[in-house]
Amino acid sequence: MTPGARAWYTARVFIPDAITVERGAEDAPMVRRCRERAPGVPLTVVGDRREVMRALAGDFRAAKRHLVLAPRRGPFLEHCPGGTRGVACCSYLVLNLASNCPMDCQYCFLQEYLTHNAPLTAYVNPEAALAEVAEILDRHPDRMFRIGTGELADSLALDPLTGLSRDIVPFFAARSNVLLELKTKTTAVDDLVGLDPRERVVVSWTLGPPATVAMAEEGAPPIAARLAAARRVVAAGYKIGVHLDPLIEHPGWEEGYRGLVAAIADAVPVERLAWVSMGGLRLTPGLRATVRERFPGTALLAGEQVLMPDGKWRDFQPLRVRMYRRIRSWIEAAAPGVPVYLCMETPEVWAKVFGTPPLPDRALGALLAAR
Amino acid sequence: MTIETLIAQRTATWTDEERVALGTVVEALRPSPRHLTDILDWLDDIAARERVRPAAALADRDLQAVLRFRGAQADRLKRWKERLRRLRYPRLAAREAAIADLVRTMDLGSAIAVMPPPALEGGLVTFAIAVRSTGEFAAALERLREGFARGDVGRLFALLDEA
Repeated sequence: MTPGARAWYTARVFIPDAITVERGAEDAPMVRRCRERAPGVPLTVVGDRREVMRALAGDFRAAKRHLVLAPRRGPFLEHCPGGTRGVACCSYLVLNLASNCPMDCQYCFLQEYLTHNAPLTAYVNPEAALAEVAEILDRHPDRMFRIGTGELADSLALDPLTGLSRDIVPFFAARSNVLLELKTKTTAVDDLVGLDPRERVVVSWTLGPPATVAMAEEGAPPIAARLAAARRVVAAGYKIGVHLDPLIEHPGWEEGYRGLVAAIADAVPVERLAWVSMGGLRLTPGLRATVRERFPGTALLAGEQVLMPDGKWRDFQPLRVRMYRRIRSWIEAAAPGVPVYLCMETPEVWAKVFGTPPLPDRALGALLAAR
Repeated sequence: MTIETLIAQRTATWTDEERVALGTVVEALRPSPRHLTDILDWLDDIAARERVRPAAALADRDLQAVLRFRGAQADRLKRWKERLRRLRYPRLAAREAAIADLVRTMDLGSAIAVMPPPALEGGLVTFAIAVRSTGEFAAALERLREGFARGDVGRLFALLDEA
């Protein structure tokens, strides 16, 4: 098996090198499921999960292959960190059910964000997370929420082990004022397709042209496999979201993204496509340094990126605008009527791309939640 | 981090000949660690894009020529980095040069300064008028009006719009 094929196989049926359970969580249903579904993986019990953090400190790659099962003690819900000063925001809530991801995308902000807390972790107390969500939904019955689990982790990468979707999809399917987004690059939809989302769950795929997947998404399934998984969940009654994020400017990007948009339109009926987002490649100085160190010679950093006032490096503005406009026109031709929005972009870029300023935060969120 | 440590860390995979070429640049320009980090980052980025060795860009004729200039070291370092930046950011640098050319051809006179946004980000162009009298102010306004009527201002914003 070639390294590339092995990496893809690994992502499809991720099996960790080891599992560590924090003492007290041994009998949690998620732990039992993981033991059943990965019976050959060595499992140890420790008094404190930080023992794993210390043991794997400095080895981010190894930390992605060591699964920690422990309760989350802080809040599960938070506002999307994308809504920083100076960029348009879509009022998204993030539900943190796991931390880190078995795939190793070069551009991933988790390389910097989780430097000191790297081990792949699934929280064994999802019932507490759902209680927190129920409380906020019940408190604001007239407001429509969008909540996603794919910010600090891939929403589905661990699902073949944890079976978490069986807990959370029925919960959200029974609620009227929320849309759950499961954001993934994987094909791990076996549990999902047996559940009834009742129009309350969007499964989103992060997609890029084959050239950028090969360049920057180690261990992630090929685009054709992701779209095949999307077809399966459409057939099971789910809506689909698409995130063209990060857009990576590279030789041949126009053919690449044009072909990708055509492939998406071929795989997903327009009426089942909830939204398409676009976001330019953005890297903090710290993340750039990490990428340079972890992936020497990567072409990811060879684009014409400059430091912006918000402290992130992005392709210089006229280049981003050109990409957004072209890709937007292909999306609108292939999938008319589907909302297209920009993630973490400035109001002036938004105005150049769409001809109008961005909607106020709540209004954009409401528009997307109503899909 | 010292210059020596930085070079040792960043050129571990370079050949002796390539390290000598970098050494010549460091000797001639005496960059600070921060400037040298920029230089090494840009060499790596050019190499990744052009699929060449990181040291390949050091052979650029214009870069070599700057090393031979007389004058203050700081000025030579500035010119050398500007040239390397043009190699690292060819489209951005070309667009910046096109804007500078246009501003020159607008011929707005010494009372008016036109400042495009840094690195072309943000879309905000500043037109500054510096005058000492009502007459100078009226003359500056007239030159701006003429430039606007010729379509110069429109061309300027078009250059900032899309690449």
